[in-house]
Amino acid sequence: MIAKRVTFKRTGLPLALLAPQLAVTGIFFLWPTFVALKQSLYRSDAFGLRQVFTGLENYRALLFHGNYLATLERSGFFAGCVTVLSLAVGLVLAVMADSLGRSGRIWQALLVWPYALAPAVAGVLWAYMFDPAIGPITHALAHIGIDWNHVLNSGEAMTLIVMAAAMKQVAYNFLFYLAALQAIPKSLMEAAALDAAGPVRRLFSLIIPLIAPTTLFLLVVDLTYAFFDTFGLIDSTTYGGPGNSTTIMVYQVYKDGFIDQRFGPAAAQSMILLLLVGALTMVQFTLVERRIDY
Amino acid sequence: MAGIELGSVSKVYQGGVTALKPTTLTIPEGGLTVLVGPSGCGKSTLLRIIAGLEEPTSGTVTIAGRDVTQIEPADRDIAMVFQNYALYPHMSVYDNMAYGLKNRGTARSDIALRVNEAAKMLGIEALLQRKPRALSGGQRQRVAMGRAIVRRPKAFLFDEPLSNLDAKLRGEMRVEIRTLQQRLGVTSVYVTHDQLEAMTMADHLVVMRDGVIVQQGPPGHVYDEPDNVFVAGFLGAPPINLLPGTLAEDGTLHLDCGPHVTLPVHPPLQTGSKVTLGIRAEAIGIAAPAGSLTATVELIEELGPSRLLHLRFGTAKIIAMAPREPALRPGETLAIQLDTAALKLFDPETGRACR
Repeated sequence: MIAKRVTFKRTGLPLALLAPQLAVTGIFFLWPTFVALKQSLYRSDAFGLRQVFTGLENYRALLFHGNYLATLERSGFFAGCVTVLSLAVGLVLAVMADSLGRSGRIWQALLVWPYALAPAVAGVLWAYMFDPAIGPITHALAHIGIDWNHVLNSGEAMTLIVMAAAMKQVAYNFLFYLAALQAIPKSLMEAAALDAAGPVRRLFSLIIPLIAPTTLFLLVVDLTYAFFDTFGLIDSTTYGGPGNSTTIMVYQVYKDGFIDQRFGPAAAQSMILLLLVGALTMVQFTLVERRIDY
Repeated sequence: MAGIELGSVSKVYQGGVTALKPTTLTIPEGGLTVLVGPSGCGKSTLLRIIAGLEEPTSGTVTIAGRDVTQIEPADRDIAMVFQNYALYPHMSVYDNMAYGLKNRGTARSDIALRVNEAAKMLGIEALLQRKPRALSGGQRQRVAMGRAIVRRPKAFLFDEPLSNLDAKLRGEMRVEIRTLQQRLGVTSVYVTHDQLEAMTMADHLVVMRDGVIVQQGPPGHVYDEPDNVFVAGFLGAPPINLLPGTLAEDGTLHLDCGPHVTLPVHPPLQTGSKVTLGIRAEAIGIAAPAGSLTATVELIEELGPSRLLHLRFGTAKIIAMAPREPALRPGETLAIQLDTAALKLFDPETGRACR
């Protein structure tokens, strides 16, 4: 086997090759993180002219006062719903596409499409379809007696963003689940057929346990997505409303920092998000490395 | 007979590939029938049609007197052992064996009884709580067999069950499967591409090629009386020596490689016809009295109890199986003797045996 490791004689070239990546990481990731961390320890006026060091006061205020805990809870609920919904739908679609065999190819391609849609575009489309005044789906719902108005009804607003957010992950989960299903040896399913296991029993007693490693991986990916990548979607559909009913953590940061100009609390929230994403990433890395294999 | 009956079963895959031409076969009850042939001969397709995993394009499948052609695999009362064992990796050995019974609603106590009985029979009692990944190849093989046994089916189907094992284990498992099958007396169909496995295990041997059964019968008979040159060449190791020649007026055979061989009886062929002479390695003897035929030793392969002599016979190469004595060395020329009773003649055009 050819060694994959390249050995350099001097340090100049490797440093030059690394420089662009290091510069990007430093300027766009590490420096802002450091600034945010510093900011989270200060209290500043709306114009950023005067700063007072307050220690962990911003964090204390978030956790013990105001509505941040409600936001945390709301984010958890939102992320949980998105994850469960997208995993379940992704799995069902994957099982169906897999059972079609070769003729399922076209469905496979179509089902992956939503993943290519930019969140803001997807959000605008969802908002339009469910628009209380002109949305075609709103019209259809009115026919069956449902008076849809996510601009006024907080439950409906949450439902809308959960559906919109889940749709994108369904495509992603579908793809991974399909690959996992196709990796199950065919003879295993044949043995099960001889063992009198019908399709439903096969799904629950064989397929779901066998693809558990994929599910664990997707769980982390979906949670990360729901917590952090849904800003564009919310900002193009509900703007966090009505009231605060769809204001999840990332959106709260934006509201506090950019709209209300409360830099300290916003920075502190960013740090909390950073910890969360760090924790999820750690879980993901350990999962990927310690893949449960049979 | 209440074994398995196949009534002109055929299989044509989508895209027009014919895996199995219309085939009629009776698999005797209680015996072990081996389907043997090179890969792509349709033996596995035939087995999968019996199992119901493959739907025949035409024909009927009858198991123990019941037409099962339209019946689901689970309801055919058969059990199958797969080539890669197909054990459920997340279940313990016990659960692997119990799964089919559970799905059929067998009482829990009855399941325990049957699984323990089968485990004892196979010597895997100590492994019942292990997961398949913690087992060796031979142990996995036993579990796969256990899963079949606990079902107490009308028939066992084996799809190349030993091909993933090393040679030593394969020999052991061969004997074990045979012993078990005889003890249980369940009709069994065994698919293999290994002629040794086929010869040693079969009660009834079915040789297949290109989707057609070319010959069937007791293994000894098929070996001794091959219907055609393919069967003669496929069975036996080392392979049979095939020498083309022409039938002369005096009843002798003039081989293309030079020597003339005297045939015991005049074959039912016209003088001057082309024939292929088939002679097995063990039918070539080193003649004590100098015979009329000679050959030169090129290579000697020691087998232990006997040895294989690679000989130059005229311009052809042949292999003879000979005892260890006398001492020989490459380059030596010997007188050889052909066991005239064991000479086979085949039509070189059709490959059929001339009898």
